Order: sequence, then C-alpha cells, then structure tokens
Amino acid sequence: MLKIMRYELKKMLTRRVAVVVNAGVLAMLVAIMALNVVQARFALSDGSFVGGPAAIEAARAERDARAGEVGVERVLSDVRGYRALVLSELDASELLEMSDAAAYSAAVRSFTDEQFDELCDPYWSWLMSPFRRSGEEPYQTVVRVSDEEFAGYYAAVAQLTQDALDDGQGGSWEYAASERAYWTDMEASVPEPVSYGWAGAWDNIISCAAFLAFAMLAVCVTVTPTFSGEYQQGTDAVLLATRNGRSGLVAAKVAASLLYATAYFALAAAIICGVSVVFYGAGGFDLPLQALGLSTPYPITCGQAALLTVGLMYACTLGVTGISLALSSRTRSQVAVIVAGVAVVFLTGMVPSGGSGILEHLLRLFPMGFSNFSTLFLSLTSYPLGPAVVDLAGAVLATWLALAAVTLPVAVVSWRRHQVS
Amino acid sequence: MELTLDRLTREYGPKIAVDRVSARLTPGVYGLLGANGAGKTTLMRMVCGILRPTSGEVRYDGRPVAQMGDAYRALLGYLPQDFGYYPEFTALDFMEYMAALKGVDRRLARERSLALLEEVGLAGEERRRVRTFSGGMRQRLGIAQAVLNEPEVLVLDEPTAGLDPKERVRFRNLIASLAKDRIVLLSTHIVSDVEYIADKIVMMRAGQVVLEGAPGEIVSAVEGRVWEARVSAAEADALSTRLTVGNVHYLESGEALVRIVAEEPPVAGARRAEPTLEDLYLHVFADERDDDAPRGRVRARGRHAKGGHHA
Repeated sequence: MLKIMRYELKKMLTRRVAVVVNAGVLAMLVAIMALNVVQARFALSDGSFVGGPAAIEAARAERDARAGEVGVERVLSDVRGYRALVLSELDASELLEMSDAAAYSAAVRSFTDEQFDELCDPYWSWLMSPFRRSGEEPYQTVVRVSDEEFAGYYAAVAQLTQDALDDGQGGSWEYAASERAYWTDMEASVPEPVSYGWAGAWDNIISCAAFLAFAMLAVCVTVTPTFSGEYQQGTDAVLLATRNGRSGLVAAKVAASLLYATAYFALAAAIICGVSVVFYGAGGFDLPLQALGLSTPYPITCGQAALLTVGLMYACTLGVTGISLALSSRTRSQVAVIVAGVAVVFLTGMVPSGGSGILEHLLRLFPMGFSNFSTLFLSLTSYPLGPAVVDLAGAVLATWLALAAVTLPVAVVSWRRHQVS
Repeated sequence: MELTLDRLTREYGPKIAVDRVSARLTPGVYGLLGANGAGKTTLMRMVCGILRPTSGEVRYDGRPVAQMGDAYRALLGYLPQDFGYYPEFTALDFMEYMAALKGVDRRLARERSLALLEEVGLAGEERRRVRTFSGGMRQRLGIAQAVLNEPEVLVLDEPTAGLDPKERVRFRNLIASLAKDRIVLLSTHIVSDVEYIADKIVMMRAGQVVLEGAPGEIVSAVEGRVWEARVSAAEADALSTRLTVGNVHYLESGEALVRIVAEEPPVAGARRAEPTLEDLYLHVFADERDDDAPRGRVRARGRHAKGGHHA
C-alpha cells in the first residue's frame, strides 16, 4: 500500500493546477504575514510613528512595562494614579458630560505628549473594560467609577458574562438555563487574579488563522481529481480491473489525501505561527486569555487559545478533504467539486444571518464564521443538546470531524461500486 | 481454465447494449469482431468486472467472478479502449504503479516492468514522461501493463489502435506467444489482427453474437458470394454505391479491379473469388449505416425481443 500511496501522491502533486495553487497559496500566506509585520505601526509620544518590527517591539515594551498580576490592590493603586493624572488637567464634572470625541479633544489640548501617551496606554482600556460604557473614554470611566466599585473588580468582571448572557447576542439568541449555567461555571473557573502582559504572537496567530481557509481551498483543489480525475482520464477502467483496484487502491487514495492535507496544512500553519513567533516573540504563551480580552470566560492561556484556533482550522481541513473526496467519487466534474469547496469554505462567510440566532449559530460552524478572537472566545456561542451544552469550539470540532468520518466512507464505497460505462 | 459467459445482458434504459450473450472460453485467442456500437466494449467490461450486467453472470472455473472479487481480478489483464494515462508519470512509474495494483511482488516488479517495456519496443523510453509519447507508444505501454501480472485471462479492447503495420505484426506475434495457456479475448475492427492468430472468431452486431467459429469455418458462410471483376472506373464508383465492395484497385488503363460481396454475379464477366474473413465481415455488416447507426438494440415495449444467436 505504501508504494501505491507514493504514486497517488505523485499523481496529486504533479498536476499543473495543483502545483500552481499549492505554491500560490503558500506564497500568498508568506506575503500576507510579511505585510502583517511590515504594516505594524506604533505612535510614539512625540506624535511620530514607527513601523514594522520596531513598531512591534515598541508595543511589546509598552505592554511589558505593565506586565504582572492584576490583583484588587494593584487595581486600586493603578486606578488612583490614573485618576490623579486625569484630574490634574481636566475637571471631573465637565469630563463626565462630554462625549468621547469631545473628551479626546480636551485631553489632547490639556496634556503634554508624554502625559497623553500615558493616558491612552491600552492597559487602561483593558483595565476599565468591566465598567466602561459605550461611547466612553477610559479616562472618563476612571472618573465616573468610585474606588468602592473598583474594589469589587472581579465581581464586575464576572458580571460581564452575565451581561452578555442577558444581552443574548444582541437579542437574537435566548440562552437556555443550561447554557447560562455552563457559561457562569466556566467564568467562575477562571483563576484570579488575571495577569496582564505581552502575548502578541498568540494574538496574531488567532487573528490570522482565518487565512488558513486558503490552505483548505488548496487542499480541495489538489484532492479533487483523486477520483473524478480517474473518471475523466479514463484510467478508472484499468485501475478497477486490477487485484487491488477496489480495495488497497481506495485505501491508499484516502490515506494519501489525508497525509497531503495534513502536511500542507502544517506548512501553512507553520508560516502563520512561525512569522508570528519570530517577529512578535514567543512570550505570553502562559498568559491567561483574559490578557487579550477581559470578558472572555475561557480558563485557558493565550498560547492554548492560539493552538485551539489552529486546531479547529485543521479539523475543518479534514472535513473539507472528506467532502472533496466524497464529491470527487460521485462525479466526473472537478469544477463542480471545487465550486462546492469554495462555497463551504468562503461563501458561508458572506451569508448574512439577518438577525436570526439559529442561522448565526449555523454559520459560525464554518471556517470564516468562527476563526476570529471575538467570535470564538467572546461571543458566548453555545449549542444546547438537551441537558448538555457544547461551546462553539466543541461544536466546530465535532461537526467537522463527523463530516470527515461520514464523507470518507462515502468516497470509499462510491469508488468500490463505480461502474465504467 | 474456463471462462463462462452466461446470458450476459446489459441494458441502458430501453437500449440493450449486450443481449443475452453466452460463451464458453477455454485457453486460446478469441477475436471479437463488430462495428462501432455492436456491444464489444460493453461485453468486455462485464467480463472484466468493471460493469455490472443487468442480468446473467460471468463464471471462472464455475465460480461467479462477482463473488471471487479481488481473486478474479488478480488473474485478469485488461487493456481498455481509449486507454487513459497519467501525463507526469514516466513509463517505468506507470508500470511499477500498475504492478503494485496488480499485486506483483515488489522485487520482481521493476525487473518485469523493464523486460515488458523492451518486449513492446519501449526499451530506452522508461524514464520518459508518458505525455511525450506518441499514440502508438502509449498503446504499447497499455499492452505491457495488461500482461504485467501474467494473467490467465487477457482482455484487449482495440489493442492495435494507433499502431503502425510493423507494430501490429509485432503485437500479433506477442499475443500468439501469450495465448498458449491463456484465455485471450481481443476485440478489433481490423480483421487482419485476428485472422491469423484467433482460434475462434465471434461476430457481434447490435448486442448479439451473430456468428462464431474458427476463422476457416465461418468464412464458408460467404462461400460463393465473393466476386472479382474488371470494370471501368465509373462503373466501379457506381457499384460502390449499391453493392458491398471490399476493394477497388484503379489501373492506369482507366479500368478498376473490384472485389464485391454479393449473392449473384454483380457484372458480366465477374469471377468467383476465395472468400476471406474481411469479406465475411463486410457481408455481415453490409447494411450497417455509418455514423447514424443505432447503438445496440432497443427493447420493444411490453415484451422481450426474441431471436439472437446463443453461443
């Protein structure tokens, strides 16, 4: 079988279209990740900008300056210092009556470059997030919220989950009691205090994971001719008349397809992860995910979240491989199979939910629907199955692995039963 | 060793591509003759197990091949019509790939592949990509892969398509040498391919076997019906339109030597000629139209069509 697999891989990878698409997607990923680095920008306190690796380094230094555990004592201490800075130049009552735009203008006028830089440090947006209202600058929040309220900091963080559950994804989804309990329990399991710091690489990987959809498409294009190519070329007649034509051959075809899909996906993921780690640094792997978004209820680290995101895209890749092989085994038309692949991978990301929570839940199972930090870790998307609840990650994993488990045998059976007429 | 075709039938909706064909094949060469659409390829596909019959079965030594599965395919060699290939494979790649699929021992596969490539006249071409091959070279590659596993049943569908006369002679000799202990089923339009090597000729028309027997025997069906005559060129053209003309040889004198298959002498002065297999072919398929000939029979509504020849 290994020998047959070798030739199946050769068939797959020497087709002109496959060569072009495979090389093209990898080149595109390299270009995208390079642009991702080159286009990074960081505003310095003197109003000038730095770009590229220097910008990333500056952002890291900014985060590292405030790295560490954020216990209640530190919250109170930091908040008091911040408030003192704000009130040194701005009046509290006037500030609270301004819009965010007006407050920003007032801050620009009133503070020195260094002070304004300190005022706009992203740490404050992060720290204020449990109390922040819509359309409010962090320096407005710190003035509005009292020390007594800041003293109940982690209760406020927990309340973010309850508020999200009450909001019901903008009114489109009514959480079942089991779902509320699920998310509440999950949030309660997040260790306190959380830590703040730099996790740029892992954040970047999660943000860029959606580009792995192109790798899925390349896999679809490459494996599509596995069966339909034999029908089109007329080689099915010769193959099916051999001893292993209906047995060992189909196993070799499926195994070769899965091996190629895994290797290609690994290569694509290595580009995304490799560039991210090289330019953003590997630091922050063990930082709690709350460092990237305080309202996330997931008790995992930034590194784990990045690996989970990539892992989910791999599960999708296996599912896409299965779908492509199943369709390929049923039709001579390679174009039809590829169009189906494009629809599954990309077009589902363009379908509007129209406010329907059920449709939104369905669309989020597709690669372009879930592969971003907000949807995967902040949206509290869950699927109640009777008394059990499955979160989005679990549902994505189960769905795509099940698709692979169902479609691969379809491909096998279709080839075994194929009649040359 | 015996391959039995037991009332094999293949229908496509109302069309009957193969109609209750039965035969008992023992070691030897069987030439399957018939026009396009006669059902030869369909029959061969059923023999190879790549097309399921609508009814009937193929048995090898008494066992249904459908039940034998891989065991039957292990002793089968098949060269289909319109033999497909992989453009980026070299000839040796293709042979070794087929060897793996046929279960040929790994150690022997390369040795046997190279030997067969040499035998079919592709020595020195083993490292060339198949997409650079001519049609004849590809066909020879197809023949080589068909015999890779030393099959007991060899099915060749139009194997000489694309071969020049010298290659066809070489092929005939190759098949003749292989046929000693094998069942070889060979379909062709080219009568001369089978005339000298076939032990038995089977003629198919519209899905049915219409004539079968040793070449010498069946040719007697047109005994007394083959004529040769010397006529003017214009008369030769006129005869071609209304009679079955096997050959026209135009002479410098403006006359033509014609060979005609007809019940009665076609012109005054026509002499009887010794019939050949080609004459028989022309006689049997005399009323076949060219491109608009119906492929297979159409089943009459409400009842089975009767008749047809059972071997």
